[in-house]
Amino acid sequence: MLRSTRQGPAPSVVVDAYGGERMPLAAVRAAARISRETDVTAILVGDARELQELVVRQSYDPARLRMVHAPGQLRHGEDVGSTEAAASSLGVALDLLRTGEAQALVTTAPGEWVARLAEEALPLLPGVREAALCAVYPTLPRASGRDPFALILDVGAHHVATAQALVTWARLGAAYARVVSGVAEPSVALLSTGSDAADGPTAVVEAHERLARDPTIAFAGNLLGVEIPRGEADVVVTDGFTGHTVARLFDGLTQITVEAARHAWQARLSWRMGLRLLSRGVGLLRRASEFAEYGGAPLLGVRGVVLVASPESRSRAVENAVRLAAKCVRRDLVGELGRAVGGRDGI
Amino acid sequence: MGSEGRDAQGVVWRWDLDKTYLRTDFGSVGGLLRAAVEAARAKKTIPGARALLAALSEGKDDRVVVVSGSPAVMRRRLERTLALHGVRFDKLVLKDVWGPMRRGRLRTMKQQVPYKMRAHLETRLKLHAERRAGREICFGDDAEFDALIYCLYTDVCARRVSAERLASILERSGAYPDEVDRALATLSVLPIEDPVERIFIHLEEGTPPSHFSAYCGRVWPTFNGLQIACSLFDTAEASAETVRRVADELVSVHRFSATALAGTCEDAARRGLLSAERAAFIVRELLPSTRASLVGFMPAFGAEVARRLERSRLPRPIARPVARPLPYERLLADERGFGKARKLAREAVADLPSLSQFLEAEED
Repeated sequence: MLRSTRQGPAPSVVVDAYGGERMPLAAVRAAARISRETDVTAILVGDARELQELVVRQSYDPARLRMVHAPGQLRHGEDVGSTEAAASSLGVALDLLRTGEAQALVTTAPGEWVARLAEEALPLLPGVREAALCAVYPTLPRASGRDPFALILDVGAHHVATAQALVTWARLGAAYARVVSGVAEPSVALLSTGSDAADGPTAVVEAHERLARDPTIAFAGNLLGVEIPRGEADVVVTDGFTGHTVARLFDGLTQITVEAARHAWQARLSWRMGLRLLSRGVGLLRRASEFAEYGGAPLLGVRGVVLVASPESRSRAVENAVRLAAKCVRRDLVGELGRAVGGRDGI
Repeated sequence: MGSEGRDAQGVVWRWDLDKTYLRTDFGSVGGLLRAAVEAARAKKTIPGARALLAALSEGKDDRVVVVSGSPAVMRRRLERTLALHGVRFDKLVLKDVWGPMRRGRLRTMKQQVPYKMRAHLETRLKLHAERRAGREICFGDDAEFDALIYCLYTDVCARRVSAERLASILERSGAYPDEVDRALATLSVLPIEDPVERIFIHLEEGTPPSHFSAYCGRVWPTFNGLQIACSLFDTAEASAETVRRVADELVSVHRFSATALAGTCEDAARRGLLSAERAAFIVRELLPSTRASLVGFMPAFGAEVARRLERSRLPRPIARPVARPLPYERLLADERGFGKARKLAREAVADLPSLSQFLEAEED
């Protein structure tokens, strides 16, 4: 039986209306639907005139749809400390998060840019030296419960990770899985080249040793790449370079799987009938396509809920990211993360 | 649209009831029955409409004319509702459904354009007889053809639309011949004038505001009573006290938060319902002194919203539109098509994806 998790004051979620390929229209459509269908307030940030022209063509509720003007857009290679970066839609959106006018941020800008700007604009949680960018991916059913998606971090915020960073990210990832996926004791694994404690680079070996002794973590040891989609852990921790490669590989495989199924469905009646017979398998494909609409994955470690959606996001994905952001706020994700990394009162 | 004699005769506030003032659902049998048996005090109103209409009806020289598609059998209940809400009205026209039904006129149940056009023309004539036919400000909603009807009404009064063309439009709208004759007879004795100054359309059905650009700037789509009150305050048709009363209602009855009030005012300013400067004044000076302060609309919050309004790149308010007849035949067809498409879209909307359910809910 499902019950609503809406509790406490309705959150405001700021939506960066630029960055992705389908922006700003996808952001505007998502914000309009959110304003109509939920109690969440969406704050669109971008060129006010351009956004307004799109907004008035939607069905929306102004009581839950606000707009803040940002004169520019973040460009590749922009210095995060520059005036242009601060005046970009992402910079203004982060400022709204910093001042408390919004409780969460959703953006489709490239994750690495978001991580760099967010680490500059927002304070890190006590005990955190580097924030970690997460991604979600579908797995075979896991022992921990019903969430079809597992978490991998870091996927690009910091290409090189120390043992300390890997341990901190393990705690952050576990806290996220507890709060958002409702997994009581999420299993956490390190991505490595072998299952033995001594396998892998020095940082991984050292992190393995420390996590194995950590009573707050359900440590599942090392995980090989092939074991990731099998769902052998709820949270997989790795450095940003490896994580980014794995996450993009998943994106590519998902696209191929969905395209292959679509082609088979359209090409021949007999194949279509075959797919019907393979309904359970088709269910997995459907799950893969939902993965594409999941919405966003968090940047963990900063004081604020920051969700990064794929740059290819359609409006439904942005909408789901806003819903997920609201869920994170309602469940006090930031407070839980703070407690997980050692802060007595969360933040 | 004219404004002769505005001070001497006051304003005629011409209102629709269902979905403009009352939150009713005549689209379903259940909704119709509920509206018929619901007690006066149980009737729900559109956010801000109750305080707004009550305040507007207090004008000594003003007149309130209500033309509604509700069946005439509901008269006592509706009169009681309006009295309970502190709304003084001068005319309340309801639809005679049973008479035409007995004569086998089933179209009467559904058609709105002929009924409302006739009612508007007849009430205007009565106001003339009472020497109270001032300039008009009209209020309708997006559920039916209110925007089209109000525009046609004023074009007919000004004779920008001829009697012959009116007859043709009414016939296309499903009018019976004697209904057309009656409307034309009223028009023939009505003075030539241009009574309607502004038309507000409440977006109860979620129609995008841009839909009304087809009415060439004559129609002002609004989301709640506060947007109307702000717009009327901007043109000095309503007082600051009216704005305060409407804001109070939004907070105490409809649970608007500070951000919801701010969003409402910002949207009104962005769409040109009032100037950015006036909107800034309202959020800085008026709202913090209402019950909005109880939900966090404090002076500092108001000042921040005002600062952003003043700095934003907002379009200037819509200029008064040039008075010229609209292509009513095409608009009628478009509105019908739009209504059908909306109905189909609603029926086609499936449940939210399972993923959304997962994101918003959890298992017990």
